[in-house]
Formats: sequence, structure tokens, C-alpha cells
Amino acid sequence: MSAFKRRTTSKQPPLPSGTRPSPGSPATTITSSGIPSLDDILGGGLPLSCSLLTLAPDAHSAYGELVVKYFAAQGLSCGQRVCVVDSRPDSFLSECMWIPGNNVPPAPSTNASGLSHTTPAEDEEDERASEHDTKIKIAWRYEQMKQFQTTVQSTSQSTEDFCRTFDLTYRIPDATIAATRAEGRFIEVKPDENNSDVSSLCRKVLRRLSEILSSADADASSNVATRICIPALGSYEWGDLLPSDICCFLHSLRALLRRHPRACAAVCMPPHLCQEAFGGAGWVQKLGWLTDASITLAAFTANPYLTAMFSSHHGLVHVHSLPAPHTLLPPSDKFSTLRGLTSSGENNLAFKCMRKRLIFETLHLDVEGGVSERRTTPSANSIAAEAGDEHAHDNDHGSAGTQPGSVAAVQVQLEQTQIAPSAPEQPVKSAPPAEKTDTAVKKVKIKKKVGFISDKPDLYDF
Amino acid sequence: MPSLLSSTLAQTSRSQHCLLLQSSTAQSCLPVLRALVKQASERTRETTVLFCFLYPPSSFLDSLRTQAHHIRIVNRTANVPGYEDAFETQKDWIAALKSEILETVRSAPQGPLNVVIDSADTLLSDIGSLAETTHLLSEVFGVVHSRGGSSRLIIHALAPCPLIPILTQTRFSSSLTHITAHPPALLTHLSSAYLTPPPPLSPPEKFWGVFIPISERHYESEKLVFGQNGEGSGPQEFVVEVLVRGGADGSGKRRGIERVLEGWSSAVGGPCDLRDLESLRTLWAKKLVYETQAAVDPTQNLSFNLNLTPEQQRSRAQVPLPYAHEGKPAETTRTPAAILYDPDSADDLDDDDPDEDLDI
Repeated sequence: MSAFKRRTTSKQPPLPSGTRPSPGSPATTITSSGIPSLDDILGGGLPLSCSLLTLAPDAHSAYGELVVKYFAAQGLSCGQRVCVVDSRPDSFLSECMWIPGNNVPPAPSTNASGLSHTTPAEDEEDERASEHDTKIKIAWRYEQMKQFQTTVQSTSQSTEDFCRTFDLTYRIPDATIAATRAEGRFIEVKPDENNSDVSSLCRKVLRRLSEILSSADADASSNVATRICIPALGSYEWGDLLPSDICCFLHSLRALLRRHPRACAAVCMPPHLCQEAFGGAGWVQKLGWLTDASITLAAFTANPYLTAMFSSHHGLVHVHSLPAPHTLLPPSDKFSTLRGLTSSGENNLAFKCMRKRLIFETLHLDVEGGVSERRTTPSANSIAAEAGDEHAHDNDHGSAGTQPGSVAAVQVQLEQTQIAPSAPEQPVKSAPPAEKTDTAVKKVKIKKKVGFISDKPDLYDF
Repeated sequence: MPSLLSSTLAQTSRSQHCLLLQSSTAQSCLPVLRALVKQASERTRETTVLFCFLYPPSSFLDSLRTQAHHIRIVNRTANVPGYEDAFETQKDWIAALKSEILETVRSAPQGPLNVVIDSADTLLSDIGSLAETTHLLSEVFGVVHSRGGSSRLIIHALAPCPLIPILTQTRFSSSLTHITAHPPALLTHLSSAYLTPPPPLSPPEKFWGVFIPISERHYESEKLVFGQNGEGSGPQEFVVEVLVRGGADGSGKRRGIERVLEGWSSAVGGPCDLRDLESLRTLWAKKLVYETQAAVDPTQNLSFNLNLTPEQQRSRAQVPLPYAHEGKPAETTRTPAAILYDPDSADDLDDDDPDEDLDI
């Protein structure tokens, strides 16, 4: 194998900022969608020259638009050009989330997207690694097993450039918007601009997009990728669209993106257009064939039955198609941990919108018969490092359960373990640790999350 | 518990600006609309603009009230597209209709404003285009929303209408109250055929899981009401489903979505509880009250003692478990670890190293 060397051209054009080569196929350049778990589902990120369609058929929430907002915010933050196709692009962009910083204004408490908000205390319980690890007395062998992970963590190394961590409680500062507009990185396309004849609005938008992309390509010096964001394709500003008009638009958009390979697009449609009542039978599949990546976020905001059944999630995720611009199979099949095709069959996916972020997770049903608790910690994204405390709890309990003198009582202070014969202290110590474990049990929040990682060691590896 | 419907009628919330009333062929929601208009007209400090497209104004307000200065009525029941000579083309007629609506709304005097559209599906068929109707309604809603306070846009529509899914979206209005009328026959059908009576008698999640799909299939309600065993539709008593999205409740806390079922009775002349509806009396009579079942406890009534005294519990807790300390740092014993071995008779303990004379 070593005799054959790949002939690399010494002059390779540098990649645009905010992009990297795809692990699955080095010829593809991928860029982040702003949400690390969605990037994982797509196989690392959204490839340039591909379009992402998000369907959100629930009328009482706006998660599809939230995904497009993440997409736009990510584009702005890593120096790419963002083109917003909407009748009110300013208000769309001003509602986008941003990186928390010193001079960033926090968002006002009213949120126009109608998402249900949990109280801050509940969110912190969600995000904190709960101190629920009471020492297991029966299945003690499982104690050394690795914790399960339900979602991917954004690996800290070299991702700051690729995907920024956004905070939903912060909005883009007006200064940043003005600066990007002055640099020419924020372009607006309004479908209903001239109140011209309504029948050809789609073609007008496509023509305008084509002009923008051609002028961006002609500008050879700058190496900036372009993101096209369409938060509501088919809303009333676009006129009365038939299903065939939408199909034609998506098809032409994909052709446009292939002609200008440094651009990508994220499209979202209003809820009434995502359903088969509008497009006929097989509508969702058709949309999946017309775009490179297509997902449905089926939220259960208004359905008390589903909300009660999946109480820790806000909706289900269905994947209809995945991007594979230069390969036969989508790289996501091999590289996606969330979808889990390489390990144990395809996982069900769900999403959850917490106060600060939106994450996609694997969804696992309860065991029949009501055992609803499995010993897992919340997703690794949100773990506050409290490993030291865990050890403290375990060893405390251990010391409480022994007779003085039979086993050396281990006295723990944070992360240090000191072996000290503490016979006289035993009776004093036995009372508080017992109480502590009682309260620790009461604080347990029911977590039902389980996930399997393919490249980690085997489950029963001790 | 205060009825959600009555609080909606009384307009107690300051953040709900859009109210959508949905009727169907099986059950009409007009009595609720009439009560709303009547209550709005009684509030003299608010302006009420009533657009009548299908139902004559006299069906909402008696002639005395129509003269009041804070009520404006636009009566377009006689304006039918294609039968008006004043306009040459259909487009002009539509443009005139839209401008009349917008002008009336914008020219209302300052202060809280209630705009009532009595039939949105008639408006849609007049204009002809779903996008233009949505555009018009968004502009009207924008005016109402800017007035603030207890201003409301009240729209009544007959399902199935393509406008209803658009009006329920968050893009149209972030807060919404959606009132749907259902025939009582639907609830009795659910409790007899699906064994799922309404909420206090069965768990709410189970009930809504069964109710929501069947209520969205309008032909089922029509079959129940107009079919062989049906009794026909009547406005005397009906079931009202109230869905409230966004806004804040009385304590100021924001809530997500709230969905309840209540009743409307013409005998009372207003909202009532489900239990007070005559047609549903058979449901409550059965007294199938849902109780959380206490799990049968097998440790009761035994002939032997399973309990531990506190001393026994304490000594049990102190028993060191086998293997429980595996992997933990070993105890420091007083004697160093050593192997104690008694040599056998066949053993040959020789201290020489047999490899000593190896010379490599």
C-alpha cells in the first residue's frame, strides 16, 4: 500500500472560512448548520452546493424556522455571506440567536415563535449532572460501566471555527447586523418587493438569487461561502402556490446550487404546506427527492397524549433524505452517531428545545411494565464537570456502610482520597451520609435516555 | 376552577389578541359568536367593528344597539361577487372590498378595538385567493395588535376551510384562542364505542389521544349527527373545545398550550361545565370514576413477621457486602501481605540457583 501515494496538488485552493472537508469524502466541503447534533445527523455538516429542507407540520410551534435561524446565525458568525429570502428579513435576522458575550443583549422574554418555556430551575436540573448516583448494591458490576450518551457532544478541539455554540437567550446585536450589511455579507431578497404580478414570484426570486451567486463567484479574490436562508417558502407573500410551483422552485434551487458550488441553502415551509392535505399523497417523499437533505420536526405541542408519553422531548425527528453530493451513499450512514446505522440498527430521533439550545437526541421507549428509570446522566453537551462529587458520594456511602476497623474508611475531600483509619469518627459519620443518600434519592429526576456508541469499547468491557 | 370559556368571553387576558371560532356542518358555533358580540357591545369604552358577510347584523345585535356610537357595522350580506353593477371588473370589486375593510378598521377611534368577522370562508370565496385573504387578515390583525390592551380580532370560520390552518399558525399570531364546537353525540359515541369518556372519567392523555384524530375527521361527526341514529344538529347544547396558546394566565406565568373541553347550554345562556349538559347526563350516571389503583401490597396480612426492628436494620446496613470494595485501595493491615506455606514432604526446597554455572 505504501508504494501508491495520492498525488496531491501542491496548490490546493484554501477552503472558505467556516468549512472543512467531509470525513466521508474528501472532495466534499461541509459547513455547519449551527446545531452540532443536526450536523451529526447530516454526516458532519451540510455540504456546500446542497439544500436542506426542514418541515414542521405543527401549527403551534415554529421549530423549522428556528433551525433556519441557527443556520443564518452560524453563517454570520463564521464570516460567510448570508442571503435571506423573506418579506421581512430584518426582523428575521434580529430574532436570530447569538453567542453569549459581554456586549450582547439578552432577548426579551416574549418569544414570538410560541415555544413553551420551562422555568429556569427545571432547565438547570436538565443540564446539571444530577447527583443521583447512589451506590448500587445489587448490580455492582455495572457501576464501572461508562455512562451512556444520548447525543453527540461538540468536541472542543478545532470546532470553535466550525460550529459556534449559540445561546437562545441572546439575540444578534444590531451593531453586528449593521457591520455585516456594510461588508456586503447580508443580502436581502424580498419576494413581494415590487408588488408585481404574483404568478412569477418564484422565478423572480430564482433570478435574483442567480444574480447574487454569479456576482459572488465572479469576485475571485474573496473566498466566502454563501448561505441562502428561506424561512417561509410558500407563505402568503409568495402568492398562491400550487404544489407543482413549489416542486419547480426546489428543483431549480438545487440546480442553481450545483452551478455555484460555494453556496448552500436552508429552506423551511409553513406548517400548512408540509402536510399531505396540501400536496397530495406522497408529498413529503417528493420534497425529500427534490432537496438534498430533508428532515421533519414533528412537534407535539398541542397533543397532550404524546407530550405525556415523551415528556422529556418536544417532538420527533424524521429523516427523509440525506446529502450525498459526490458519493453513492450519504456519508451520514457511516459517520453519524445519532442515527447509529453502524452499531445497532437505526435509532429513533427526537428533539428537545431547552432554554438555551436546541438538541437532537436518540429516542428510546420505556420498558413495558413501567420501569422508567435507567441510570444515565444527561447529555454530555450539558454536563457540568462534577466527577469529583460523584466519587465523594460513592466513597461516603462506602464508609457509612462498614463496620469500624474491618475495612479502612476512606475519607474524601473533593477529589483527593486519603486513607485514614477513622474508627472513632465512624459513628459520627454514619448518620450524615445516610441522610445525604436519602436526599440524593429524592432529587433523582427520571431520565430515560440511552444511546450506544459504535467506536467506543464494547458494552461489557470492564 | 373558573371556566376557560367564560374567561375568554370576558376578555380577562391582556395578551390574547386573536380568537378563532370554528364551526362545522355538524355543529355550529354561532351562539358563542353572538354572546361575544353582545358582550363586546356592552363595553362602551371599546370600539367594536362588526363585518357581516353571511349573517345579517340583526342576528347579532338588536336594532337599539346597532345605533350606538361605539359599534360600527359593515353589512356586506347583499354584496355578492358578479352581481354588482357598480364595478366593471372583478379585480376592482375585490380591491374595493379590501380597501373598505382596511379603512374601517384603521379609522376606528383610539382605544381598544374589537374586530369581528362573522364568516371568514365567505370572505375567502369573495376574494378568491387564499394568499390575498391571508394578507388582508394579517394587516387587520396588525392594526388590532398595535392597539394593545384588550383589543381582539375575532374570526368565525366554517370547517373545512383552507384558511383555518393558516390562522392557527404562530406566524399569523403568536398567541391564539381557538374555540371549536363539537356535537355532544361525539362524546357519547367515544364513551360507548371507544370506552373513553371525557376527562374526569378517564385519564386526560388517553382521552385526548382518542379525541383529537376523530374530531379532525369531520365526516365522522357528520355521520353521527345526521346519520341513521343521529338526532340532527341544534344549537341548544354543544361541547366546546378551547385551545389557548401563549399569553399569560392569571398569575402572570407563561403557559404553553392548554386544551380543555367545556359545554355551552342555551338553557343557561352561556358556558357551563360538561356535567351540566343534558345530553351527556348518561355518561356521568354510570359513575365510572377513574381512581389511581393502589397496587396490591403482598406484604400485608401475612402469618409471619417480615418487619425488622431498628436494631436489626442497623446491623443489616453494616454488613459488608462481598466484592463491594473491589478495586478500591487495599486496607493497610498490620501484617504485610505474605504467603504462608507449610512445605510438603515431597517438596524440595533448595536455595541454590541451578543456573549459576551457566556460562554464556
